[in-house]
Amino acid sequence: MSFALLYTTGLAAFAALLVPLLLHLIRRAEYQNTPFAAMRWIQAQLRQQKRLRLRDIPLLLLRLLLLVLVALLLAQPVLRGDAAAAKHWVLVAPGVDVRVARDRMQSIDGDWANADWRWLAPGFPTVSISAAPATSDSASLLREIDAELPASSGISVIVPRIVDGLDGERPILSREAEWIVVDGAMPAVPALIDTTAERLLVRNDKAKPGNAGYIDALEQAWRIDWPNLSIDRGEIDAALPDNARWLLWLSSQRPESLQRWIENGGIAVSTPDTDNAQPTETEPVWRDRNQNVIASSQRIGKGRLIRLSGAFTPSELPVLLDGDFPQRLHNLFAGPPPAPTRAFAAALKPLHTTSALSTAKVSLATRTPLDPWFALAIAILFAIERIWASARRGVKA
Amino acid sequence: MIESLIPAAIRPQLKGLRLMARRAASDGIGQHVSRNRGDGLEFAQYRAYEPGDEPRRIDWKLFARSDRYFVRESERDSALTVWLMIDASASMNQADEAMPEFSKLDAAKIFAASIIELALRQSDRFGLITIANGRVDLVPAAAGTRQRDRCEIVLRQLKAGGGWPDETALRPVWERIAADHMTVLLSDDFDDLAVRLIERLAAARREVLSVQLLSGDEREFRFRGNRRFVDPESGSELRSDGAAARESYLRDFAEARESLARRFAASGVRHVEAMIDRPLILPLQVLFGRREDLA
Repeated sequence: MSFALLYTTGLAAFAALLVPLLLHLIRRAEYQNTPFAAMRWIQAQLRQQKRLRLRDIPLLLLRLLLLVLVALLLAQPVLRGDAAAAKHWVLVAPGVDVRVARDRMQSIDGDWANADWRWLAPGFPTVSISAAPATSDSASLLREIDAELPASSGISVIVPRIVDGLDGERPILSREAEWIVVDGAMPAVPALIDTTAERLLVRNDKAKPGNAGYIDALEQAWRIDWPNLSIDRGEIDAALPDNARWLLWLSSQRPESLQRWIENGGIAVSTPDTDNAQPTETEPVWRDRNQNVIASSQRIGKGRLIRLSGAFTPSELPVLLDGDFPQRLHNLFAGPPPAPTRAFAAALKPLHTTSALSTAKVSLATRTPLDPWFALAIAILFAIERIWASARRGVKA
Repeated sequence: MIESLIPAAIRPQLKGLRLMARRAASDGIGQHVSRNRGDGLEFAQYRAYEPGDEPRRIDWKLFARSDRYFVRESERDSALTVWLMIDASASMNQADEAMPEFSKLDAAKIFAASIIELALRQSDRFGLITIANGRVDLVPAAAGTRQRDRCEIVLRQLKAGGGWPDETALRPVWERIAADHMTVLLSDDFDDLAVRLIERLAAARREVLSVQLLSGDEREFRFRGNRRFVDPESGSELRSDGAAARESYLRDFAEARESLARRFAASGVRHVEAMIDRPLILPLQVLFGRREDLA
């Protein structure tokens, strides 16, 4: 068992030790009033005090101890557990057949019988007593178990070929994890993508017939990527049904009907206003490689109006010709697509780092927080200090 | 019941003490050797006859009426008159830092009550003179328990303050204290006027006893650190370091005590120092104990 502080910055509170020291310094000019009838026999003898003197030294020490404890409490004291009890952990990802995993481990040297076999699932249930649970965040669980285990225990992770439940970043652990890929597939996790049919209104200005070609191309591109998307094309004077939420408004006009439709919660992507005036309170939502704003969003009522930086022509809107324009335009309505959650296990071997951040961490599982004991000691000392100090004052009075 | 002024620890020790006049004292049949013979002239009270009473003091007319022996007692029978003069000037508020609740005046009250108790036991007359706030207050001398109660009431109400009065204010003292009366002055004797009054009383054939009340701080000067000493009567201040001033103070104060003792001895005043932080019976034993007990 050893003592450790999780938040050493809290020790800056030691600076507070100066306060009682200053309070206990005897001020030179302080004279104690003493009525004395036999005063006529006293001769004034003033003595300069050369060195600093402290009064009530036991009380001062008590107060200093109190502050030291408070500073240590702020620094979050813990007791680190005994590292000798560390065991090797074998984590089996759901979807891996346990028998296959055991056979595979037999082929590797090691005392696998005594290892701790656990599912890579919330709570880390033991493999032998529970069936394979469903899990959706493997990467997060890996980081959790890495933080909780003592530094000396090793980890073996058995995963299927394709790992699900990732979060876009390759796990970085504080120890070298044995990464074993076996056959099998993780149970399907319900997709988070919304597959409900969306309705997109496209309204084109009669004055700009050149837009039609681009709209055709957009429609074809969207049909492939989002087959559920229904597209409703029309002129700008066509009705704007309330059950649609997305609108591509290829006109610089802003009729009353459009305003109302947006205020009711619609998202409209439009070419710039007629007077080209930049409205206030807009937020850039799409920038090109040179950080030029391509689209900026303005909140109107419950909905939003997103203005493109130019008309629907390649000269004014160069990105119109880019291959990912349909995708990016769709993102303006639907928001960015979710991060990928599946990856080939072979490419996902967790990285091992010895950076100060991860090694300085004390394992969660083996540390005992000492906060309650420190708080209790502080409360007792404070009570003693109060009683003592008030008794002192009583004597002086 | 009101607690007695005399602490329980002192009362039993008073038993062996007696008020003794140095000179053969005044008239009457008392415990003091008298120069004037004769019965009391001023009737005080009757009391029942006790074996040992002179037959001629029995009131035979009363016997004829009541068929009992009564003895006439007279005021003048008590031979000694004791005056307790208490200095209650502001300096008598002095107390020790170790015992801030017990001032010199408190000690003086205990001494006065004890001496009154002694006088009462000997049927002596006693009176009280208190000097506070520049004026003199008197309880005229008399004997008996009621007189004791009167004095105790005055003592309880006595508060220290002010300074020592001038000559004219002291005139009642001269009017009341007759020749051969015993006077006990309870004071710190720091005021030279008080010392001179005693000297003059002694020179005028009054028997004077002086109890000088001193505190432990005055005797040993245990002050430490920087002090602002304040004279309670003049209000003047003096700043000094306690430890540094100690040596010269102790020397000067011891000298002052010695010279005071010499002055009193020269004028025939029995003088004793009473330390208020020590057993209060000690100075009483010095003044009123039997000589052989002290030796």
